Amino acid sequence: MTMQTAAAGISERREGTAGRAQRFGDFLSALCMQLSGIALAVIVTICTVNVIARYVFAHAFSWAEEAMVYCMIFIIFVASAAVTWKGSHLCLDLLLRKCPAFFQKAIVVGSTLASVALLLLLAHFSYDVVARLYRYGQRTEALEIPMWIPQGFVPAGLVLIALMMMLRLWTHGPLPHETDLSSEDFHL
Amino acid sequence: MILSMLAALPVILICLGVPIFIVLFAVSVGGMVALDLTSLKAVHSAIFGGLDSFPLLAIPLFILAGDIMAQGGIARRLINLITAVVGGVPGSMGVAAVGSAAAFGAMSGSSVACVAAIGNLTIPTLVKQGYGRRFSTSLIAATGVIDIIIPPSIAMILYAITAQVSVTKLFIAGVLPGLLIGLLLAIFVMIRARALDIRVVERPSPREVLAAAKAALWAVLAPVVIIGGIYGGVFTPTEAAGIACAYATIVSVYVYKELTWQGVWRIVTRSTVLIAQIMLLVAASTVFGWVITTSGMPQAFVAFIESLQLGNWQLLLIFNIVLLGVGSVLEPPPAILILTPLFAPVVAAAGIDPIHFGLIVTINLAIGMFLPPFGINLFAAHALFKVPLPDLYRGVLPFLAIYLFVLGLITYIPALTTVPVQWVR
Repeated sequence: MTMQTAAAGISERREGTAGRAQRFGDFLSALCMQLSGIALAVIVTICTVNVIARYVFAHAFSWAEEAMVYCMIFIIFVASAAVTWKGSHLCLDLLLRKCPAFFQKAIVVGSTLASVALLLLLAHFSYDVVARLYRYGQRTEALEIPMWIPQGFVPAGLVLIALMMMLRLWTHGPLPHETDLSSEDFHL
Repeated sequence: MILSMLAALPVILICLGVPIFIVLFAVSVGGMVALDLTSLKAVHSAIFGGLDSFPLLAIPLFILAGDIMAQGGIARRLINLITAVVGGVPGSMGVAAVGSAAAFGAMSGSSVACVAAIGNLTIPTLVKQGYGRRFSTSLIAATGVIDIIIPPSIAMILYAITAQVSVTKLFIAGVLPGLLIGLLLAIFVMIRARALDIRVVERPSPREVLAAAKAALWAVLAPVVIIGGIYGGVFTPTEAAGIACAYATIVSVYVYKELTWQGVWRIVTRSTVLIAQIMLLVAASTVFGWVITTSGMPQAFVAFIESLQLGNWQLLLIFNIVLLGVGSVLEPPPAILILTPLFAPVVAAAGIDPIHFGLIVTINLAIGMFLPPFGINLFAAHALFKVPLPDLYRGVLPFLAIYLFVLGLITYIPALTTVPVQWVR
């Protein structure tokens, strides 16, 4: 089963609330990938234009590095939501798969709930820092945008990942992570 | 007691199939609370501070560049050219597979991508020529990891950032070991071809070689731009990766016409998944590394190692064994991110060059990728090419011997990695 079909295959179309939750998860995952794709395209464009500007016009953009790094941080936390929905986070589940089905389910449910609690805890503390930056009105050095915007990607991303974990557990059930090697998506 | 728990907890959680980034966060938070280090607000600063790094940007860009080159016909034309150039020598197709893996390595940094791309294009021909399915697939599973050793390599970038050494110097140090492994693999394939009495393919005419070269001109320029740009001091590795993406896109869409803009967009969005997989791990590992450093664990580890009064050769032997073991179950990115904060202080205290050690780490973890029984390339080759795992376990043994031989050379002759760095300097 490929990773792409993992999401679809293990979760046949359901009716009612679970079905709506699944469609919402699919939509959110696709949206996250599209937004991350835009950010990646922006990075490539800025990088190329900056190099050309430096060698052809002897002028580099002082804000370029900062913009690219913030786009990367955006990608990491937003695309991670899609990774979570696909169940594709890097993990080592050889032992888990050897356990009896009941224990597998118990471990996946327990670890998912604990992971969600941990992510929300981290998001809470992260939000405190971002809120303080917002109150102080601190700005970034080169782009001079409010510092809370790029730093806000961290708590927002953590909440998004936690949300996707819960949605996945609800709609797909307690399934181990899928990192199917035959998938065209998987090529680390 | 707390330090032992800090060491044991990740192993238990990882074995239970918990995502590795969660394990790193959990252990970090557990350590911070248990050791009463500081407020958990520091986690935010560690994450953002760790990711706010321009050199780190090379990872997503090289992932994207490698994917566009593989899908856009650049990799295929390079393979065709190498096949034409080595045509006429015994075992030419096998040698071409090794050369193609090395060339692919010079454009991207992902090993399983290399196995898939090169394997799909070469295994059917290798089998048809009489190498046998087991040998052909094992060859591809083993050569695929050259990708990790020949720069630009994602593993090297991660090590350089974690150990705070120059990415470019590490790249320079990786060239010779990568080429040496490639050369030895090619020689072995030629010997094997003679033993199997594989018919020597007729040497292509100069006209055919020229035609392949003409078709691959733009493809050949891709590694030239990347490597020449970095080593010539024209770009930083990150900029080279960005330029590689733009170059690969333009060539694939307008010159080779093998990708539409829609296809490029599909690759871009797909790459974000792999980028997030790796980079979220980097985010979590920055917190983990910070907790490890603040907890005093590296100092305790250094003191413990010093108390053993080991010579450097013994120390390096132990590191090699540990890294091979870890590399066979964990992929290079998490292994580097978890182990480097712990090993780097010991290495520094022993007076070992961190660039030299970076190569030792990279080669060990690359070998781990096809080390039986858990090497991920073996599973990839098994899944992609339907060869039973026990066959692959036996098949990769000669290749394993070659890699271990080079690892021994690199470990105990530091000049092989440190001198080229001085030359370029």
